[in-house]
Amino acid sequence: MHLAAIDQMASSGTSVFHRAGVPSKLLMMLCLLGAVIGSSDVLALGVLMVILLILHLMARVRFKEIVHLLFYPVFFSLLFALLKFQESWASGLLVVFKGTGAALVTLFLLATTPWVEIFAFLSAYLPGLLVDIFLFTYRSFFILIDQVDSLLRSIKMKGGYHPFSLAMNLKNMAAAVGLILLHSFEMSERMYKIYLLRGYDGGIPITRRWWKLGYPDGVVIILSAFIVVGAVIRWRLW
Amino acid sequence: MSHVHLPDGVVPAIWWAAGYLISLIVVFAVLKRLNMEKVRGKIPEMAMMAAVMLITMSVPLGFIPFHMNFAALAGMLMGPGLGFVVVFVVNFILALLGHGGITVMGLNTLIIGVEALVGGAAFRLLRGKFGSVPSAIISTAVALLLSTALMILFLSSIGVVDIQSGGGILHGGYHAEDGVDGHEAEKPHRHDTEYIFGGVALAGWAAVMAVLFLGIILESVVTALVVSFFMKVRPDIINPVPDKDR
Repeated sequence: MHLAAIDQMASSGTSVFHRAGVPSKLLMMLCLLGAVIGSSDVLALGVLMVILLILHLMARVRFKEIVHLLFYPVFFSLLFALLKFQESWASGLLVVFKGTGAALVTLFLLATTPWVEIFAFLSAYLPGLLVDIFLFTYRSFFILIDQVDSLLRSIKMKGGYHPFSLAMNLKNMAAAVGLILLHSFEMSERMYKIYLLRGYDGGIPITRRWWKLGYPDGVVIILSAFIVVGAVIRWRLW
Repeated sequence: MSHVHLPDGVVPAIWWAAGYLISLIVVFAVLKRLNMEKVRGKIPEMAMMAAVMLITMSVPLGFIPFHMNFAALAGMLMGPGLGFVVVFVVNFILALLGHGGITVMGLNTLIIGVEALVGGAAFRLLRGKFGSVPSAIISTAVALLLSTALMILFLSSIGVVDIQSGGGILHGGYHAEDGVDGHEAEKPHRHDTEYIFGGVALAGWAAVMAVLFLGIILESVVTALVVSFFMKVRPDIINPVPDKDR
């Protein structure tokens, strides 16, 4: 899933996008998403894809992980584009570009904004319990991922995984999932008790001063306006 | 399961907006209906289930290009309602990672959430009669069949797949469009792309069904094996003290 790598990019980046606040970046995400989903012109979408790639370059994100994560939207878009390709290449490409472009938008947000910041912003609009589940999931993921990694490695080292033995893989995967779940449930009980001792009574306080806008926010807001205007009047580059 | 994550740009706006609305209503209703004190105690468990679902999705199963999502298992362990909330959380994180569209997150949640709702409810209904492991197989299979049928019916109703031929998901053939002067209509139709399963060639719906059934069987078996593992080491997780709030 590259969740850890994406989180590391978001936390350690120093670009103007990393320094901008969550509201301005969410505004840009909405503008970009609107432009990608709303467009019905392959050329305009192609230009938007180039803009998105430039934004990724400007944010200095690592493309290895981004490209790997893009495999899913490309694959699923292609699945749905198959019928459209029978109509015309343009219709098929439109489906692929929309799926991939939207994924590029969300990945850009994640690569420049730590998860906790996103959840903190959402906490203003979503029920506290739901936000808590998001935060606990995020924390649990990083606790479990190393353990799962070493468990899978030990399964492979002991000959428990073979690419062409589906039955054996299924049996071992079931045992591995069972072990992980068992361990995670026991860990969750301990975690909850620790949180109770620290005064947790629902709703982890993660509010920020969102209204304080700086120079990076200005850049992001101007870019958002630029994208909206461009999408509305359909840029004519040549 | 070998479910298809709907990407962005495939479904008309009215449908994905409705999907968001309905899935949020279900999540809010589940959280509202339950006893807050008890749900609060369940949060770390739900988060762990969501994290395990996220992690197992990246575990390869060898040469078969699919992953499991364990939504039915989440319904069995957490209860149908909380299982749905877990699916919502997992889908939100996946959508941000590009695994399923962000606009169609509501629809993806409804389709996969059905697995948690039906799987969890059916398991509770059946485990008294048939025992935990057989009930897990039946519940998972029923839940996955239902969610797959829902997905195909939905995609068919909005014209993304052709339910008559199975075109759109695994269908690789094409039909020449009728030309104005009739010339194009005379072009020979290419045969449907065939998919080979152990020497048996399948096309159209047969191929779609073969792939989907294989996925359903695999996830049902793994879910049953996980339940069997729990019955050996911690049966209290599968058969907890009756709790109407779960």
